[in-house]
Amino acid sequence: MGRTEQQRIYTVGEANRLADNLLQGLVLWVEGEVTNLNLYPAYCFFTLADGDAVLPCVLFKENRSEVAEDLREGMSLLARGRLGIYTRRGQYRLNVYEGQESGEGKLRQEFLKLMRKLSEEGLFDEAIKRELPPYPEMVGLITSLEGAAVRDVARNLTRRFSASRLIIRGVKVQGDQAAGDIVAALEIFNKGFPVDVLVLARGGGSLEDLHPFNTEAVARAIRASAIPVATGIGHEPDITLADLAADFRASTPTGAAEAVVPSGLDTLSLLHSKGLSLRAHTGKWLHRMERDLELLERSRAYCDPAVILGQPKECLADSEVALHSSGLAAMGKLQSRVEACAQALARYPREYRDMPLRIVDATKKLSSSLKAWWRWRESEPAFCRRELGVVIRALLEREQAKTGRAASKLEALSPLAVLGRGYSVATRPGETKPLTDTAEVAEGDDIEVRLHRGSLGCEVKKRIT
Amino acid sequence: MTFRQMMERLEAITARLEREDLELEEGLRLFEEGVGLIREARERLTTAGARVEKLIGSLDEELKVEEFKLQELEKSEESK
Repeated sequence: MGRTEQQRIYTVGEANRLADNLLQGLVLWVEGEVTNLNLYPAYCFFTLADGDAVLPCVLFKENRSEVAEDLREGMSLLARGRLGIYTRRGQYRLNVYEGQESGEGKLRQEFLKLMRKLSEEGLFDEAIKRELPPYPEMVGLITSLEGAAVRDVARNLTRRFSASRLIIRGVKVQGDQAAGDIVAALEIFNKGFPVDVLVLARGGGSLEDLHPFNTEAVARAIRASAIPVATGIGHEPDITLADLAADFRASTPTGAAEAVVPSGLDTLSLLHSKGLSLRAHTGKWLHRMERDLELLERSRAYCDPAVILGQPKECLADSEVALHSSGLAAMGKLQSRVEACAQALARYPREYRDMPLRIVDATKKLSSSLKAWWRWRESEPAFCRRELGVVIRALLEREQAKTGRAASKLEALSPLAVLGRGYSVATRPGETKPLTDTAEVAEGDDIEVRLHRGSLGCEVKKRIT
Repeated sequence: MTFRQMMERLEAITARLEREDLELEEGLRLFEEGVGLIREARERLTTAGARVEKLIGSLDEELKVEEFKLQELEKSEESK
């Protein structure tokens, strides 16, 4: 080997610059895991690695905004850059212009592994998710007392639905203590301060920032809560294990506030429509009743109540006539018999004369019964014809029988009946008192002897004692 | 009565009024109750704003709530 005269001798710097120039045209996309990350104010160094090889990279300040904000050790990065040589050190490297997270970084791999495990256990099943209560009286909020999340939830919730109470439990949402704080807060609400619904909220952040919400303990505590839980964690694309375990997942704290309470305006308009339907329904059945009433008013029965009463009234009239005539006839017959007896008895002692009075009493009773019935009929037009008929008939029969018995007893006791058997009654002429002692008359007195038919005028010829 | 109970009762009253077999007195009573519930619910929605409180203490000790001043939080946020 030998050097010819023509061959140029390069300085180290020239050699490096030559190599750099040769590489200048190569702009390419490279994917690998970020390692050896060193951040400086003006630039940062890292290497992209995969199983095969490593590629040193540099990212200058002016391109920083074009590369994933949370550039970190272990993340998988898809970087676009120009290959070149750092001439001073002769170092080959990729000058990165832009880059985005890709594939599965280490943290992400852990996250996915845990997610798969809990998912297989059924912790995220849609079927076990509970409905959020429609009008919660009390809403519990678990979040940091500082920062945008608490303000966003409180402001949106109170503006949206003023009939709820918001109870905030302050917790750390970042760092080692955060997961324990969140689990404890869930337990406090469940055991010590039962609200209707819980909101777990946090503003957006890196995967690392959101780590407490990706822990197994928090996911399990959410699922174990007897109170339904809604989450509002991070910004739109972030999803955590807490979100997956929750009964409802909103993508932001504001979204969670809107999910747990109804809109006050919507509720007011619902109340308005309820009011309208209340009036409409009430109006409907009032109208129906009015219509029924009108029909009733127009009906013949209502215009002329006699129509309603007509039939029983006619029945009553029929039975009344029948009863009246039969009653009167019966009474007439009895009365004439009684009168005859009374006349016949008129001339006999007082004890006999009581008899017709008793009969007259009986007939009076009968007639007052009839009158009472008459009055009752006047006051009770809607009576039952059949029952009345039976009662009146029984009454009449009873009274008839009573009167009949009294009459036959009277007849049996009548002295006239005794006379019929051949006995006679002697009296002084013109008197009714029967003579019972010979001492009452003197020989030669005129006496009257009453026989069964007719009387004899006699003179006492002899007194036999 | 909670807001939820009021809304449920209102629902039941409306359903009851939809039925045809209502007695006049019962209907009027339900109507009055419904109107009263609507008035009460509207008042709750339109008068006082929601209360915001802070839950302090622990399960082992005493748990209590105290007022959480949202305005102050907002002011301090604005001043930052």
